[in-house]
Parts: sequence; C-alpha cells; structure tokens
Amino acid sequence: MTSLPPGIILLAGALVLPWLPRNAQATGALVLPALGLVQLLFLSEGTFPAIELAGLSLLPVRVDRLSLVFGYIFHIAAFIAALYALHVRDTTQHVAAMLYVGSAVGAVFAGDLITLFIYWEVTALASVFLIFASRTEQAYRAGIRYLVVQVGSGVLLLSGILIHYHHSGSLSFDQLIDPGGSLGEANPGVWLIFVAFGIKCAFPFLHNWLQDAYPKASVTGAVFLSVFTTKLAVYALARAFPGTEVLIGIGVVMTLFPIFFAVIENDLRKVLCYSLNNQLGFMVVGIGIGTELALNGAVAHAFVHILYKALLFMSMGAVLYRTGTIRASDLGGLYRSMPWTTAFCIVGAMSISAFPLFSGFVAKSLTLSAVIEGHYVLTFIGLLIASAGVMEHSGIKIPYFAFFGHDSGIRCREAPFHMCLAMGVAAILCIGIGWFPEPLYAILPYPVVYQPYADFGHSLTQLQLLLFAALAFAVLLRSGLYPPKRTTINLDTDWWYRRLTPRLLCFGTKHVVLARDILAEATRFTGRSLMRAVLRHYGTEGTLARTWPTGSMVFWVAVLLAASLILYYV
Amino acid sequence: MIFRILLCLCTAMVILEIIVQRHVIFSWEGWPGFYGLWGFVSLLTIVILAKQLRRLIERDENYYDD
Repeated sequence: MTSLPPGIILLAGALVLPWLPRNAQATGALVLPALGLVQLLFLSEGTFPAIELAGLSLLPVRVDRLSLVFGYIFHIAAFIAALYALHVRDTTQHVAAMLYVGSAVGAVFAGDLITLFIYWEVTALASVFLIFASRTEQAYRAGIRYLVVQVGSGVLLLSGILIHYHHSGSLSFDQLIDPGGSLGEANPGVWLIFVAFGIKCAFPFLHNWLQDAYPKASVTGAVFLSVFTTKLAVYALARAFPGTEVLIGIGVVMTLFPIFFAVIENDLRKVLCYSLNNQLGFMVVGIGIGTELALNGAVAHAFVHILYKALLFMSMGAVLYRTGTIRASDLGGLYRSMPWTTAFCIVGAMSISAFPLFSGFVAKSLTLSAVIEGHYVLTFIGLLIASAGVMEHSGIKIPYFAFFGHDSGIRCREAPFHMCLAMGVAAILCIGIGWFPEPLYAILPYPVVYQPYADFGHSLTQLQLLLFAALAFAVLLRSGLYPPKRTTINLDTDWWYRRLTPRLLCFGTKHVVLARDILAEATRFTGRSLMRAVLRHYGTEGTLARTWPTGSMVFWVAVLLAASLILYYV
Repeated sequence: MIFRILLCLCTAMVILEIIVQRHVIFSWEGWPGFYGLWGFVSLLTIVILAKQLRRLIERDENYYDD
C-alpha cells in the first residue's frame, strides 16, 4: 500500500464509484478518504523513483513534512465533507468530489512541475461539476466563468514552467527564488508561475472567481470547494516562494479588502467566501515572511482554517438545505428550529475569530509572533484591523443574521443527523486543537518551541480586541448605524468581465457593423453612378451603341476624306 | 441583557490587563486598553466605510440577469 502514490486511491476509487449501486455511492465516497488517510500514515518521507518521459526526468511523488501536513488535512476534510454529503444521490457529485480531492492530494505530493500542472488542471476540471451540480442557469454560467479562470491559471502555469525550464533546465518543484532573492530578479517563467499560483490563491484583483462561483455550488459541493483549490495554492506558494517579500504586502491587502465586501453582502455563503479570502491573506503574509516560525504559522493556519471554514460552510449549507434560502434578508431566529447547527456554527465562528482555546488562536498566534519578531509594524497593525474584521463578518454576522436577530418566522427541522455528525466532528477538532495544540505543532514542517498559552497577556489582549469589537457591533446595532439587510448584490472585479467587457465588445461590434454598412452603401453608390455613366454611353440606348443610318456614315467618311485632303495640301 | 454582559466582560478585560504583567514588544502595544480600543475603533471604521461603499457598488439583485 505504501508503494502507491498518495491520492491514487481516491482517483481510482472515483472511477469505481459509478459502478456501485446508487445508494452505496455516498458510503463509497466516505470510505475512500479514510483508506487514503491510512495509506498516508504508513508513508515515510522520501521520493518515489523518477520517471523518464520524452527526455524529461519527472518525480511524481515526493513525501516530506510540508506535503504530509497538507495530505493529512486534505484527507480529514474530505472525510468530513463526504460524511456531510451522505444523503446525496447524485453520481456526478460523488465522482467529481473524489477526483477533485484525489488530484489535490496528488498535487501536494508532486515532486516536479509537470506533475503539478497535470493535477492542477484536474482539480479545475473536476471541481467545476460541483458548481454545475446546483443545476441552475446561474450556476452553469458561474461554473463556466470559474472554469475559464482556473484553466487560465493552468495555462499560465504551463507557460511559466516551459520558460523556466528553458532558462534553468530544471523541472523540480522546489523553492523557485533563492533565499534573499526577489521576484524582480527571477526569470519571466517564475513570474508566470507566481501569477498562476496567485489566481488560485485569490490575490487581490485576481480573487473574484471565488466569490462568484462558490456561493452557487451545491450545498455539499461548496464544502469541498472551500477546502482544496485555495489551500493547494497556499501549499504551492509555501513550497516555491517562501520568504518572497512582495507576498507580505499582497497578504495584508488580502486580509483587509474583503472585509468591507463581507459587511454589506447579503448572501451568507458569499460572506464566507470573502472571509475565506481574508484568511488566505494571513497565510500569504506568513509565507512572505518566510522564517521557520512564520511558515509554521501559515501551514498551521491552513490546517485549522480548512476545518473551521468547512464547518461554517456546512452550517450555512444546512440552513440552505432546510430553508431553501441563504440570503441574510430572509433569515433570522433559526436557533429555535436548528439548535445543534447553531451551536456548531458558533464554534466555527469563535474558531475563525481566534478566541483563545479555539483552533484559530493557536495557529494565528504563530504568524503574529513571526510578524512581531520580524518587526513588521505596519503589517502587524494591518493584521490587527483584519482580526477585528474577521470578528465582524464571520464571528458575529454569520451566526447572528442566520440564527438570531430579527425572527424571520421560518420554522424548519434540524439538519439531518449525518450533517450534524459531520459538523460535530469538525467542531470537536476545532475545540480539541484549541485546547491541545501540541499534536498539530508536532506535524508542522519545522520544530515548534512556541507555546500559545505560556504568555497569559497574549490571550488577554486577543480577548480584549475581540470583545471590544463585539461591543462595537452591539453599539452599531443599537444605534441603528449598522447597514440594514437588503436584497441586493454588490459589484466586485467580476463586473469587468461580466458587464464592462461584454458591453464594450457589444459597442465595438455594433460600430464595426455600422462602419461596414456605411462602407457598403458608399461602394454601392459609387458603383451605381459609374454603371449609370457607362450605360449612358455604351448601353443599348447609349450614344455609342445607337444604330446609325448608312447615309450619315457615308457623310462622315466624306468629311474625313475631305479633311485629310485639305491637310495633305496644307 | 447581552449588551450589559458584554460591557461587564470588556470592563473585566481592562481591569485584568492592569493587574496582569504582560510581555510587550512595541511600546504603544503596552498602553493599557490599547487592544480593546483598537478593536472597537477598527470595527466601527470598517462598518462605517463599508456602508459608504454600498453607495458605489450596490446594485439590484437581477443586475447581471437582464
């Protein structure tokens, strides 16, 4: 079993699933990640034999501490998400989800860039079916937009790999910028790879595919989507660009700008997408700082983030599943109907806000300590503002608008048992890691000497920040200053390609058509006048085509002869 | 009721901070109540700014569908 490449159980299993009876497929999808995790536990560090392909030496599997952490959490998350999807009787979704997970696992164990590229594209192709699975026109369109962006990222990656290979002669998937070097000095291939990773990691201005597509995915599909694509990108950045300083700036901007969109967003799953974007920023900052402590922070953050973000997506999915809506303006007061979901959601919300004794705290503290150690003052201030922002949109807004606040009058049943179980497992992990961070610290890429609860002052200041932020929220609500819930949408960078570009193209084509029409009319007019002139002289009635009497011809011949005679004499 | 509990908790945090010795790296970070004030002001600013952002980017729900 240990000679099998990681991820292959999931990929091969995905192809077997369609042959199972329909009601056994969901159980099958639950067994696969469990098997995969067992395989991973027996895997030892090192590389599998290289493969020679078309003169290139490829290293399809490389197992080290960094890839193992991501491998573990990907399997755990896939298991939880598959448990949550146990009621789904849709072959496409189960197959797509397992292919998606399998390729994401394959990608984190890829030892060379070509293998990475192949898995990178499979994650894009497989995951889009989780968006299509909603089977609405809007989901279909959003899925196509998502696919264009994701495949675009793959194309950039491949171009980058080829240029990088041309420059350096190496295909190995390792640090692409030397320690101390900057992105500016690297070859253009490395820039392209950086942008390809940046698209999947939802860098500012490249981010909007996430908020556009994920909220339109199926109830269970969104849980899978929230885990893999973006964290694969975080892994890729941590592998190839640790210590690349530009990432610090990018990361801080990423933690800040989505907050404002999250505050005014009405679709609660979209609020979670903005919050996901903001969380990625913390990880990107950690990777940008690049010290052992910071990288540990980024990886630990990715690990716990996968759990609490999946938990939040599951709780909102359960609301959508039971009530048929996820718009904040339609919801409220659901704690009466869904007490368990409410409790799990609150655990997720407290974890993401990084309350002491919850998982977010033990991970975020690592990154923040690295920021302080490196004396990045502005970054530290930015991250503190972002922490208050997380408290606002994920810590309070999500649970408050869905389960408390104004009573919407909706009375529904509690989420199905297996959904509660999946949320319960995630919630227990969130609390467990918060109380006992040592097992998580033990699997991080570098040795950890940090103890999050050693300095009581740190827990205290964090609590103070969060509680005062909550107080500000309460003050805003009581004073009526909080932006009211409205059934509207907000424009983001998707406006450029969903509205502006189509409009410009439409405007452009309209004017090209107009110009063509004018040109055609002008040509027609000129041609017609020309033909009219020709016809006047040469046409049947034209001067030159007229039949003339013989006498007149004889007369003119006589005139010509006379003229030539006169000329001869002269 | 919840509001009063929150107020009490916040006050308790500030009092605790004065009692407890804590490790400070940047000097401004050591001012009593700094984190509380920073959290309060940050959230207030974020929400007020976001509310203004609405004027610019808010559209009808069917904006992209027509």
